[in-house]
Amino acid sequence: MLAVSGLSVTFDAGQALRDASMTLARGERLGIAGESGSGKTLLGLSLLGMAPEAASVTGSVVFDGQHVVGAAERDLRALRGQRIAMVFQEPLSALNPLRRIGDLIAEPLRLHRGMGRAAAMDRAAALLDEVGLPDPVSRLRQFPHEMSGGQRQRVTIALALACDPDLLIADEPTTALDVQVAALILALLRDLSERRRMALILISHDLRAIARVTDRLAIMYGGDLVEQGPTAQVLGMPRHPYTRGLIAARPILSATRDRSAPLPTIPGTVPALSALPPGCRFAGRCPVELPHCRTTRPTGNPACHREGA
Amino acid sequence: MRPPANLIVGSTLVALVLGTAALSLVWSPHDATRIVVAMKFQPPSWTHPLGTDQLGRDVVSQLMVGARNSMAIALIAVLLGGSIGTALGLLAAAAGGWIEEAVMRLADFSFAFPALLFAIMLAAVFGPSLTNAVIAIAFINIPVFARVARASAAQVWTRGYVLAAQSAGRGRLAITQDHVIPNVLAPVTVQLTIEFAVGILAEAALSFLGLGVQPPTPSWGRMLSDAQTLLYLAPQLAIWPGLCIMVAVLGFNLLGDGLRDVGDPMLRRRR
Repeated sequence: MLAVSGLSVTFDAGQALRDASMTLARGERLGIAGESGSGKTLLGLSLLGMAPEAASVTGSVVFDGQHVVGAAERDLRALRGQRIAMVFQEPLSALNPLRRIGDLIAEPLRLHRGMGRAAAMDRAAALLDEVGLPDPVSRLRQFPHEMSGGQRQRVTIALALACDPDLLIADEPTTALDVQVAALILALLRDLSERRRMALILISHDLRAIARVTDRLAIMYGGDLVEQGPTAQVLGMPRHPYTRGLIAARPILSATRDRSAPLPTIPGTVPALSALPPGCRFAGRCPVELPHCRTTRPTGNPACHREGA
Repeated sequence: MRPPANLIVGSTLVALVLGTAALSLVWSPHDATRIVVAMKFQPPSWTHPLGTDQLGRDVVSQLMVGARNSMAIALIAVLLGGSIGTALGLLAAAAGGWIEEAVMRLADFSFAFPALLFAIMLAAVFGPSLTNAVIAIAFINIPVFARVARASAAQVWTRGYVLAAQSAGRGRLAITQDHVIPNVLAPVTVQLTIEFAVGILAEAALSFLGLGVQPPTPSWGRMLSDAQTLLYLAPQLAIWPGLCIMVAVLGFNLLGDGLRDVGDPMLRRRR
């Protein structure tokens, strides 16, 4: 359904996304994990043709036969919301504080589906019910500030579902929420994807969240897709040194953990966009670096010179 | 919560001025333009509460009709200039790129001319008439509103819900209509109130110079300019219209300030 190949996004300062390739089948759930600044969100936006105007985008994104890279704005608008929808990190800022929940959800229905006001409101209530908000009809008249963070995120999900998209991109949907609410939202996303046979891309830095929801997992570092595969396999038998570092750096809650020992980290920080090494982006922080890693770009999956060497 | 003092005083003064202007539509003590030479320079009396002018016209009636004319001109001119300016500002923020640059640099350029002087120049070039005065005042308001609207709109365009709307396939026009305009309305309203005061002042200045309202239509600016030559003979004729202009301008300024304070929670807390 979705095929990305050789997708690169370049800014004046440097390449924020390099030669990304992946595919997604109908109803499939893919996780994209990586540190802040690794290009996860940019990849998500690029799938909608929404990379910043300052960037130059090359490669191809094909969704159900429709090319996204280089497509006309009008064709992209027909794709956005209708076929591919997106949910963002901050549920508060993603809802216009001046507009009622009902109007917000009814708006795309009236625009894309040509529904009348009453019909759109009925559908909005049904959507709020589907995302597990109790008393949906009275919610329609509420403003975003009258709801809690978790409720607002449910509203943004309902908003994204309005036109029955085939693919939902959730960009760190639980970052702004507390742990229990986050778990409920993740369960909801998984549930919706199964019920609607809707593909899901979950962008997160939380490996636990991704393990809970997705079938497949792609790891990103410095604009590269460094490793992808079935979620259980990538997390259980990580092959790329970055993936291993990421998994090792997960904080573990346990009574037996030695509290005096420092939390494991990956030494160094993600280099700035303008200072990315030309070869493997992870060179310089990698514990198993080879002499040519810095200069030659590794290909394949995982993208590492140690693989098969 | 108690409304701020400037809002109370401002809205009282504005209500007084607008009320007087509205009243003059249906009633004034005398016909404001009727000349009775025998009754010139009357001191205040029960029939003429503020006396009469050099042609025997009733001062109170003239002030009331003048209020109506000044308000109407300022209102039409500021609304006209405000809508055009706001539309340009919204366009600049929505389009970005060279369109935004062009609109905003043009606004910067027109700020280089003192607004009132510019209005006088326009009225002088196109001839003194009511219509030209309205156009001149409207014109000087365009860049003011273009700036205010663009600044608030540009802020809205960076919000998460705009990104969300874009990801839902909404175009720039639809986003402007649904998300930008409701958020821009408040600062534009405040600006309207303040510019309204400027509009009253501009109308008075143009009429004072004979570039605005033409005789025999009464207006505060014209009354002031008529009284100028009689300053030693009958100073009260200059004082009354001057006082009216001051009250109206002060009222709208205070109202604008008050509205801004109410709309700005940060400011409210600081008080």
